[in-house]
Amino acid sequence: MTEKIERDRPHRKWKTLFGPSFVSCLTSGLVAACCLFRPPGALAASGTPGDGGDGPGSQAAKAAAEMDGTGQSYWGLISAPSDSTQTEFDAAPRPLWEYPLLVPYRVVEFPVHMVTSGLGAGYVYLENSGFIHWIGQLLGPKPIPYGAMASFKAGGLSGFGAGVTVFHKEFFGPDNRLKVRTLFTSTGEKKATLGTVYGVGHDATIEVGGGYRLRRNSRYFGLGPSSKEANESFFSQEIAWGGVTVNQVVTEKARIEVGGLYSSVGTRRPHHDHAPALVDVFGGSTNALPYGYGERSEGITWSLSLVRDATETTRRPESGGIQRFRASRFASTSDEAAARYWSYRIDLEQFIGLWFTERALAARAYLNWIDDDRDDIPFQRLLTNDEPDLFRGFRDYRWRDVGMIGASFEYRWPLWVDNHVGGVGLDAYLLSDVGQVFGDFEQIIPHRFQVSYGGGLRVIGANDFAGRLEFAWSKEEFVFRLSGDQIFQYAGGGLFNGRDQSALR
Amino acid sequence: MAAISPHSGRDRHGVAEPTAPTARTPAAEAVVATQRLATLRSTSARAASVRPTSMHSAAVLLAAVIPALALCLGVSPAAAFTLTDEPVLWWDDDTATIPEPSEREPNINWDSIEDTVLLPTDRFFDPTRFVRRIGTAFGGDHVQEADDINALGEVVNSTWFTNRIGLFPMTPEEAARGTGTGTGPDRSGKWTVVSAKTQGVTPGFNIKDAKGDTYLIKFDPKGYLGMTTCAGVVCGKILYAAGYNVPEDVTVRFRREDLVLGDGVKIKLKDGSRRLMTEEDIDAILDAVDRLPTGEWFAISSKFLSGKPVGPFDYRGRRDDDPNDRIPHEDRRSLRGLYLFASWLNHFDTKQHNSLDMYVDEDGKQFVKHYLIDFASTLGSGAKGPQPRHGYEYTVDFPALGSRLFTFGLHESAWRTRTRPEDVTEVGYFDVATYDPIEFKPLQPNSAFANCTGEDGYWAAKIITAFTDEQIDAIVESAGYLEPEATRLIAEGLKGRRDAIGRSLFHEVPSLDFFELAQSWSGPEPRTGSVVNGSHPGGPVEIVRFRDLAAERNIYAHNAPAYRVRVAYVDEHGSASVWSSWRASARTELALNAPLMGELGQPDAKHPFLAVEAQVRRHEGWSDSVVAYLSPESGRTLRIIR
Repeated sequence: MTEKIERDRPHRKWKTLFGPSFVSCLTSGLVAACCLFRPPGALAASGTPGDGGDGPGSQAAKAAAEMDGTGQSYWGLISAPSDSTQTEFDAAPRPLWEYPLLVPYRVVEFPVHMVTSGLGAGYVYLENSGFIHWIGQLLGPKPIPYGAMASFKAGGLSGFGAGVTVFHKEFFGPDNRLKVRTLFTSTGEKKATLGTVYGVGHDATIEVGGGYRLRRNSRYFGLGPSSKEANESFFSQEIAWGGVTVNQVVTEKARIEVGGLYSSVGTRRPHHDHAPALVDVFGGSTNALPYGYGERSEGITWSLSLVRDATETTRRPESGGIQRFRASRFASTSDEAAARYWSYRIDLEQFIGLWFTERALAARAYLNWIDDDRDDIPFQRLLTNDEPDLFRGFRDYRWRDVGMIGASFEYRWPLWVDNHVGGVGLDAYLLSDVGQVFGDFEQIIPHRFQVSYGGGLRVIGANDFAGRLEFAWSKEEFVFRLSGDQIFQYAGGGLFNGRDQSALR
Repeated sequence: MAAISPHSGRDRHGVAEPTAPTARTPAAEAVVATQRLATLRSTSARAASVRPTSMHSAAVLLAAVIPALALCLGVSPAAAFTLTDEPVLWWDDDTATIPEPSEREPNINWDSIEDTVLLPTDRFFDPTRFVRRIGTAFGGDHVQEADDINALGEVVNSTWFTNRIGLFPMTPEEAARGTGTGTGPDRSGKWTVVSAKTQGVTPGFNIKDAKGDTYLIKFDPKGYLGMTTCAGVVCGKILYAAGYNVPEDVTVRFRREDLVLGDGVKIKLKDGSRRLMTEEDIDAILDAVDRLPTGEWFAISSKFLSGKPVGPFDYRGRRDDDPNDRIPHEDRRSLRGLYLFASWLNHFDTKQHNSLDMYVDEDGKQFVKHYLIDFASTLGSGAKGPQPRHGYEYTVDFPALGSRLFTFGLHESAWRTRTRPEDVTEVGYFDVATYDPIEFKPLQPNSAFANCTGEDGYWAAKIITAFTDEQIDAIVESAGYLEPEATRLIAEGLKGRRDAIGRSLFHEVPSLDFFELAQSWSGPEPRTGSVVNGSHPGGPVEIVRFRDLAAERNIYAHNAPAYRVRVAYVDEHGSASVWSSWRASARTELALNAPLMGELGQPDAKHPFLAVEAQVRRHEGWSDSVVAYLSPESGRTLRIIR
């Protein structure tokens, strides 16, 4: 039974004197009596604390030396527990004025409390049952070289999607890797890829891969920088590819990539969920439909890339840059939507450390062009704003033509890190993209540049950049994206990583 | 106008008292002044304390608003306290025999989510805290006063806390001894390995020595030999000297041949299965950690506590199956004030799993005793090596995240500029330069820390500043750091941070303490000389004496404080009809001489107690008041109001 504290009540309810503390009370009681029950005027100067140098008496000194809370203290003698110095301390009641505030709050908060309690109980159950440990083992880092990971994607044309990535880091050899990826999204997109990388010695690797992708909501607005937003239309795009890339390191930071890729890109009416169809918007006359619509463009692309990558990390680079030049030759392998053309790409990136720690400016400029007339190239092979050449703030595939020029800027700063500078964490960034598509170089005019702004969060993993969540807006759109890729340091190994190969990046 | 109790209608011990008229007396002012001791984190409150006397009008305004609110709600304000001439309580009777409680096993991950997200959210939306939080702008506290304190504001001795260095003189040797014998496992025979710890960041094992005592042997993270082990010993001894219950931790050196494997010992494997432990398993554990150039291993030995472990204590609520556990833990000053100790020691890992309740049998009674355990992540060290962010931000610190998000990287977090002596492996991030005592943050928010008020902080600061340089040196020396420079740096860090705590908290709450009635023998005749106004050699003089802890402990260098004191006879509610004039002095004494007492008139039966109101002036104006209530009849100090 709880005994309320009655320290200040005039009629104190004394506890029984002959309790367990009686003996200890006796041992120190005499000393206590001398100091605590002094007669009036008998204020002793001795036995009171001085400036930290009090000289305790023999009993008090012994008690203090035992550090049991008794002895001659700076408040005078503290004797062993006795009825006069001990009681059951209890919680203070809340003041009455709190109840009118607290009761409604608790009523409102009760459902939340129940939900969180349920979540807690559920979590604890799952952990105690071993389920969370099992999931962690399945998806987390493992000592074995293979495993599976869940992947997610949101925003852009994909809607919300999820898939599984299966990997093997020692695929028939310590220098070989395998990656199989699948993705299914709420907009009906389906994607499955398989990529392998083989180390062949002499700082060279061979990448072999292939894939399939069905996108039921590809967009088409017309061609050129002046295409109208109001002309938005949809079509289904089906891509299959397979190829080989040889990657040879030339110097510590430079490499050459040579590749051969077979690809097939077909177009047809979109899923009925996505309207209007391209053919409905642009099908007024046969000539208005873009070249290649309703056909399958098949062909082989040969490419040569020179890459200089002076960045140390994909996590939070504050120096270095990437210079990339690529030339490729496409030739159709069938008469359907036939085309032959050269295409070129120049891509420059630079990272600049700014003030304090881990503040950096990432700048990127790129120029892509196909050396042919737009009317001679199947429209599904034309350049369009897709990763990594996004005009963030515009819908994917908003612009399409034989040429594309653009620049991107990100100012990055750290939001959260796990314990130390440079650790696993979360960075924020402000972004701006600017650029346009063009049919010929004379169409590159500053006032035609499309500008978008935004910001986002970058997730930094233990070894690499891990993903991004960003918002961007333009005069046309507000776009949200969740992605495991970034437009800077866009991961190479297109075949290995299962990149869309409809247009070479 | 009725004065409002800072204790919200109850006395300091939690007993509701009847309404009492306390017209705007100095005692009432003092009571209101205590409301200025706002939450430690309230910058507005800090600013308020810079000009303490200017806040009286605001405090009075608050005193008007709250009763109005209370009256609107049909609640009448209550009195502050009632004085009685009885001994001060020093013991919480919480050792009654109870049935053995069941073992608590809180889930560490969900506990982290609760502490980081759910509980702070609840505190944020709690309307009573909101009202009180507004009140901090006028000097109030954001929570009710602590419950485990006596009339002097001291935490009473209990199964949670035992007053030691804060109230008692202690030699450096006693401080360095810590709890127990301070010698660690017995070395007269081999240590028998009785279990192993292969999981977690650092491996370890349990041994039984020749005396039959069991110890946990833990090692430093690789590359930081001596860092966590010595830090654990230092902090264990400091917290013990402060008054907390801790295990006996010492550093030990041993060789492989000192260990033998016990019979039938099993080891838990990574996949959760168990098998019999082998000598090779011991070798594997030892191979995973650094050793001394002599070939010895260096580790911390933590003696198993007596009794039966019944799980950690939560920093919130009470233990349902312990009838002795009557005070919500977040309302214990000993746990609220632990915030300042954690801040001092950079003890950032203060989650409940680093505490332990033991069901003990002492003096024929079986009850629960509450311990703090595992101090390896202190003094700038960490289980994964030193990390500069520890102590500066929660693991997930939403306010800090929001602040950084909206300042766009134009402000640099203090912890990012921290450095450590790279050539001294035993010392982590334990600096004084970037240290702000009341900005300390553990790994996750702590419900008791969230309730820490200015008075709770003052109590802790009073104990922390009681550690002398000599005591700190002795404690650090006893930890057995391998490098002399590490010993020096850790001791200097502790001293510097101790002083920073003193400067910060004693600026908030005047450090005038330990008031007493005494006699001075320097006066020529009683009641005629005035110590305050000059020396009068001759006979004894009755005086009121107090201590200025900041001055004694040299918290403010090159500062000559001045004091002013006045007295009054007061009734049982602290109300006075006449106050003396202020007496200013450079000394912490006031002679109760004839001229002074003459101002008060004759004491009467309705005003049997003596109130002493004191203020200090250091750099700025006069501080807030500290009022002591004393009994001339018994000589007791009955109550302190800050």
